[in-house]
Amino acid sequence: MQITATGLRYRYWGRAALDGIDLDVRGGVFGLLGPNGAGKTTFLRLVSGLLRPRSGTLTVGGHDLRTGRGRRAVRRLVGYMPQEPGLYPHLTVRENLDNTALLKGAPDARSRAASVDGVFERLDLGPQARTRAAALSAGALQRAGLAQALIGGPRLLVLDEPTSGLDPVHRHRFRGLVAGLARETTVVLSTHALDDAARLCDRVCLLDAGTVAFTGPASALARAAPDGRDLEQGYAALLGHRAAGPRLTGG
Amino acid sequence: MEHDRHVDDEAVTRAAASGTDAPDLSAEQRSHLAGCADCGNRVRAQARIATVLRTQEHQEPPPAVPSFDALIAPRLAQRAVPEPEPRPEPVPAPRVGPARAARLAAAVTLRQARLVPAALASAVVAGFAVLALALLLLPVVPAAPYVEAVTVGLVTVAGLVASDPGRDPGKEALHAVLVPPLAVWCARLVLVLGTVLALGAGVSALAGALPGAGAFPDLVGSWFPPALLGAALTVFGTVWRSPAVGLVLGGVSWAVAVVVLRWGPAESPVTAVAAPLWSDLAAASAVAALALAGAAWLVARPGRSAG
Repeated sequence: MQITATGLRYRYWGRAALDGIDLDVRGGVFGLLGPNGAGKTTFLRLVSGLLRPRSGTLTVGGHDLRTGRGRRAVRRLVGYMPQEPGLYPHLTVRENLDNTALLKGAPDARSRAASVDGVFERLDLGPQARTRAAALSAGALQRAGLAQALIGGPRLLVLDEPTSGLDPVHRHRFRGLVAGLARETTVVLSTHALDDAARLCDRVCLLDAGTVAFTGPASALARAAPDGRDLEQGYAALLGHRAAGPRLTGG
Repeated sequence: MEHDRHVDDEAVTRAAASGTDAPDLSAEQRSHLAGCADCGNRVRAQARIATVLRTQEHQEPPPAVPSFDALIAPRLAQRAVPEPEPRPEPVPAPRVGPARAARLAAAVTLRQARLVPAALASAVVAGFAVLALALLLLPVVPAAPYVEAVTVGLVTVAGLVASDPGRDPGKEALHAVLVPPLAVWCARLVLVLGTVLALGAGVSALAGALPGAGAFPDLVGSWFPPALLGAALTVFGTVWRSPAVGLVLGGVSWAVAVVVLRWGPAESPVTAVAAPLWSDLAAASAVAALALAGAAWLVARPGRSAG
């Protein structure tokens, strides 16, 4: 699904979170990189129809998000996984997903059950079906959050820092899940993990203070490094930071 | 010397180019040109024109003749530029018809029963049961103050529990679905407050059937305005700041309605201000509507933290 932003701006109480973004996303996995406060989450909220663009244009799947009608339409097409999954801690995973299916427009218990079973199978969440959300491990919680986003078969999957707080094993597993999903749906994700971006994303966008510092393949981001290969140094160089890290002293 | 016949223009041109004794002129033409002043003028005029033309020919660049490439290449390039892509049709979003929307609204409302603490249901049922038993077993005449105290209190507590935004974790995720948090919140309030108000009406009907307890409309009229106002203020305070603020606002409202207006002095500044608001259905409804609208507006807004 195509996402097109032109001169997109958004302000929080006078502070510019996005300051004239031009982006064109056409399928695959698109990664948003950047320091805290760069505007990643704001962009994801806008793309998901949670916020209204203040100026500029933003279309998702041909729907104009400046209009209420467009935002409502996009909310029916998007699966959004925020940093905090929207799970009721006192309900089991199955009850939570059943509730999500209801809120996504499935009034019939039978169709909800089929939808939940499909997601359980896909994400291998069966063993956790009867576990209360409050008792889930970090990895299972992330998968439950992803399951919540996947309910209803979204055309666009929006993931806000999906691998934060995961150990390397769960991160690897989560990357595999997202890569599998990307074969049939467009994925837009934000992350601080540059290796996630390098392994998962077809294209990345580096945001800095609400503006686009770079757009292209992650490999091209690495070319900005002094040695032309190091992703982190390329990231730092593009942000105008000192490429070298803190000096370590032996002892 | 007079000549009967002048030379023709062709001979004049030849003479201007090669001289009046040019070999390609006939002897007669040469002889005429040598003696005729008119024809001599014609030859000199022609020679001047030829000189001017030759001079201009050397000064001016040759006329530009557009080449084939110059003519065709832009056209070819124009053809090579891709046509602007037609604006794609928007991806169709699933639509919900009226019948499905009604079933969805009913399902979402009933689902709220599972998301409200069971303790609330127990407290409400127990409170009304005790009130009903007291009305039946004890000689309480008139019943209105007691029905009002219990019903307003239970409606206020129900509003506090049902409106707490903390009951919906990860509100942001729930904003990106077909049924937004505002609709869920409204469904919960309708279910919980509707149930408690209905139970209050039932107890009022029971009391109204008892001799000397008061008529049913009077009983309901005594508690409905303060219950509505108290619940609305509680809901607003809870959503606006916290359940503690909601509890304080609801508690103050209950105290004004049940203690001050019922047992306080008949004429005091507090009574003068509170009585029209807590006792009059129109005034209480107007303030309650404002408070609920404010709370709904706050619930409808997703998180505003920058990121």
